Amino acid sequence: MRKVNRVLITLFLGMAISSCTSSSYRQPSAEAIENGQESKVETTSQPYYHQDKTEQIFANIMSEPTNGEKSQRYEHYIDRQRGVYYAAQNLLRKFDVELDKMYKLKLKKGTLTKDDKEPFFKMRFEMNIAWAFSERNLHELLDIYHTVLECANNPQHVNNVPCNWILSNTDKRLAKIWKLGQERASIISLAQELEVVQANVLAANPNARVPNLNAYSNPPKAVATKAYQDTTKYLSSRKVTTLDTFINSEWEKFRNENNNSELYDALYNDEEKREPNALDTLFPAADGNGHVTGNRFPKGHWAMTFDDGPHPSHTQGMFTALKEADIIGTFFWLSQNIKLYPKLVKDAKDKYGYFRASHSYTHANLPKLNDADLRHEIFEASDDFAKVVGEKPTLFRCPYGACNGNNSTIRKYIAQLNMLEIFWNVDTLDWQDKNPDSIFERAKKQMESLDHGIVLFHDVHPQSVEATKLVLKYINGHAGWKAVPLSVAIGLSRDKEYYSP
Amino acid sequence: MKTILILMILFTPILFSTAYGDTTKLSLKTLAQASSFLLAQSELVQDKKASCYKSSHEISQASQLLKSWIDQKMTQLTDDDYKILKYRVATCEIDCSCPIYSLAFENKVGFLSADLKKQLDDKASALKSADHLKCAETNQFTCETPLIRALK
Repeated sequence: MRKVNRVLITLFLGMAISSCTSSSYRQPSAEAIENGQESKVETTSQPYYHQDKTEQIFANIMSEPTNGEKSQRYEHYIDRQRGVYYAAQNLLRKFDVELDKMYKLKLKKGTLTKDDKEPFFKMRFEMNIAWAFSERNLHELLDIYHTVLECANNPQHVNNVPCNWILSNTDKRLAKIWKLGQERASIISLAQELEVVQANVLAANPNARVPNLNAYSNPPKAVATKAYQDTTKYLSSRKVTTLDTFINSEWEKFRNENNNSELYDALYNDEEKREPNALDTLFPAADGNGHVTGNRFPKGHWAMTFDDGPHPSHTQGMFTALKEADIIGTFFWLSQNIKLYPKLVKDAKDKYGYFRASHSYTHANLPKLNDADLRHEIFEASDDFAKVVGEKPTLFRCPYGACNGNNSTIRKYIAQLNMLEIFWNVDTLDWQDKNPDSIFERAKKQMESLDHGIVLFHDVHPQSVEATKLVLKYINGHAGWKAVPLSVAIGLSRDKEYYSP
Repeated sequence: MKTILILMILFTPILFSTAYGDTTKLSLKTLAQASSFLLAQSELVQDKKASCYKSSHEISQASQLLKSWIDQKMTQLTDDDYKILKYRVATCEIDCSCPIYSLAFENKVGFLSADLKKQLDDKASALKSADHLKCAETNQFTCETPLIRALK
């Protein structure tokens, strides 16, 4: 998508942006920010984006009489570049937000009309310009940084002393901006870019002295996630800048000039190039991102889940029912039962290809437990699960669905073990109803109204096996519906695979 | 009088929460009747008829809470309690408590004779939504029944 966007910039916006670069810089993804790491850009700012300009800026900085003033001018320059970069980054994030909205609308409606796509299309246009600006400014900034680094590490350089002076202030400057809070997401991506420049300098001169930016480029995951969320929050109160005015006028021009062109249509219909963040908002976390209900699954996709086993007689019945329907299920099992029936646990995967997940150790009501008991139900459950399964679980369902909500200790422990917390949106009430037909009818009605999600059954009751057969048959016979493994549905929801043993 | 009314308003929630703070004091029979009531409500909410609950999601939440109470109750049942339950099998369809009794006996293998177990399971699986709706009346359960309110 990035490459395509770059082509589009070249095609449409050449007139707007004086010089689009051929750099290797990529827009840092929300995921990277959330994960606290950007996969390092392959190479980097090969010096120089615009060598004459870089030399000129560097000369201007060094023309100041004292080291302090040189450093001040450098900071002033960096601040200006960073300001544009930050504004552009904000537009990129705004684009992400619009993209999410459109993605969710598509999930809801199935197909989008041209009117639905209009705001997104405008945002894509803005994003393209913003990206070009961001790229241009970033590269100017990186080039100056590269020059300063080389100068600081070359004792023969005429400006070696002021360059070292400047470098020693870099850390302090970043710390100051970091403290302000609202630019943190941009600082994270900027620090990652600066590190790439540093890596290039170190490659040429392994003894080079470079500032340690690790605290900014690779902050704890929670800090990075909050930084990204905060930036998104600030978007709504963002002041209109000259960049916005410029983009609006370009948008109007573009719209009038290209409304009937093939390229315009191509832009409208290039949904396959979209990368909405909404697709990637599910990952192990104590907040909403770590909680899966199935409501975000693609339309028509169902995940069949079974709790409380393995059970010496009914689990096998469930295996067979699923196999006959050619559907892969996911089993949330208690570790105390896993230890009792290891063959069933192994057969689930080896013979049938079903997935296994954790449902605590003893099915205790987690919110009622003290910390030691809670740890037993989550951590030891995971350890003993791994002893039989061979791998730790990556999905966890709280007994009685009781996890105490987002950011509770329970949810933090689940996230700490790198597991997603799984809920459901179709409850068959199969534990309290012994009539398979009425269980099926109940499931059917909920499924018809939701059109996608997670179905909750239990593999420890005889009626559940019979009702499951009816539900599986119904899914297989329903146009546009299919049952997929839970981890696959999660993967589809975030456009990135999710592994489960 | 006014003061008494104010005190009643102030303390009713406290009294209420105390009454259901220790759910272990509820009998399995009462919990089984509540389960039947929830199944009836589930039918109503799905057919968009008047229900104590706004959605299937709310029913699910109530069901899970009830399940935790029933599970807890079952851990406390003694053999004497099971003997009482055994005698209730004969009439459990009247208040639709058979499914929860059947659930209780799932973990009490050998306690019921094969015939009695079959009789219980048959009765439990024969209960339909319409039966649960009738039982709600028989058991005099309404949305305002304290136990049901505690499940919301």
